[in-house]
Amino acid sequence: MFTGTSSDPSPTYSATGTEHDPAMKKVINQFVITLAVFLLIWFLAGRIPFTRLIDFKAISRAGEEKLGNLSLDLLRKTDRPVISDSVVYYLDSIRDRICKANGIDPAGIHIYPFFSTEVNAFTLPGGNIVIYSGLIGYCNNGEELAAVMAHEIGHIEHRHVMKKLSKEMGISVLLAVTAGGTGAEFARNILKTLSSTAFDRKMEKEADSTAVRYLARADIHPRHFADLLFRFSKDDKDLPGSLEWISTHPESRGRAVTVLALSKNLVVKDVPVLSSAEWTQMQRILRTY
Amino acid sequence: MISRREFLYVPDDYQSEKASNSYLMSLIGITMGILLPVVHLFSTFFYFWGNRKGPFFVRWHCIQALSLQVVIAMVNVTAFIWSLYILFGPVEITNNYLGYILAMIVFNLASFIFTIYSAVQTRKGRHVYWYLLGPVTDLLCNRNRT
Repeated sequence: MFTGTSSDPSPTYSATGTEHDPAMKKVINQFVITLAVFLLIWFLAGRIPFTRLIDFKAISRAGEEKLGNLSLDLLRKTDRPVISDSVVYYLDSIRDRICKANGIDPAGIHIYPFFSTEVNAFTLPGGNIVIYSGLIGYCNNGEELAAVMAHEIGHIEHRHVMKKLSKEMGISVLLAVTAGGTGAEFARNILKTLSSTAFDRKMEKEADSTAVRYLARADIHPRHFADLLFRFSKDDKDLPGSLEWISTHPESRGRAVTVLALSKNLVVKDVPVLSSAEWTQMQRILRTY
Repeated sequence: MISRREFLYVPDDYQSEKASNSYLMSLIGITMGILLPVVHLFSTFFYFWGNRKGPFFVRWHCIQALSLQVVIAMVNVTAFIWSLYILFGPVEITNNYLGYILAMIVFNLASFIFTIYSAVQTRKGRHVYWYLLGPVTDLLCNRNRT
């Protein structure tokens, strides 16, 4: 590595041009050799099957699950979970229908209904979707609720949650995902970020178009999604501040138009996700809380 | 990779210390625990700027240390930007990316060892001449400039 003492003096310290030509040649030669060595190391190191040896996705998944569980524990302290087998069954049946029609493992998506007058639903890390009873009550039918769920599943499938957290909370989120060590304050910040701030426009657009695709494949017409968004945009003007899902999902009208445009040429059977009796029963259970 | 050569004159203790510090400057970021890829470059640049009118031996080694930091910064910034694309963009972790990170670590480690070796040698008044960066420094450093 280190060649010993050399009596060879440095070539030149003069600023005259002609003397620099051999020196420049030497620089170019040595630069090419150094670059070649670097590229060779990179090439050889790139042949090591790191991605097969280390399951990065599993590490990330385990960390995300921890973050999600921490946030859920915190949420349970402030909001009351809906403990009703029927409600859980109905919500899970909608999830299963969307997931199975789109080749998604339903075991990776967890639906948590919470009692709150807030019209809101949001996704937490680890594939956890929180739906407030206020939002279920706001929906006119199971298909509109399915549209919200399809939209949130879209966020999960595109890994928007971790991208958003990384952007807004920085490298600490990534360290938490890999190392798993987090505090209550950290979980509070995650919960606040995900429940009350919007994904960026590109992510929302992506989740919307994915939701349209998911709904169509699950025999649910995406117009239900558009109906809900139109109603949001109308009620947002009438009832400012009461609909949390709108404030975190801005420009509902524009999005509704886009959803309609995307579903224009789709041929969908539109099979109800819940019978009217089941929908009524779920609404009644939630009202009695 | 590194050779010891005769310099045009024998530097005194003051010059040896100043020249040695130019290498130590590039390690400041590491000792402070700062991992941002350009911090070392800045600290070395500011040290060079402060000594740009200093003795030839000091200037020569400042430029050699700075040129290493420019090369290392380019390698590290590329890895940094690539990592940002993975974290915030649609890019996935690939073997090529991890291979690059490994190559970057090898180059950083090598530069770290060379830098410490050079700092020790120049402190003793010895002239260390690096592969590639020595000839580059010869081209950049004008003896007559005061």
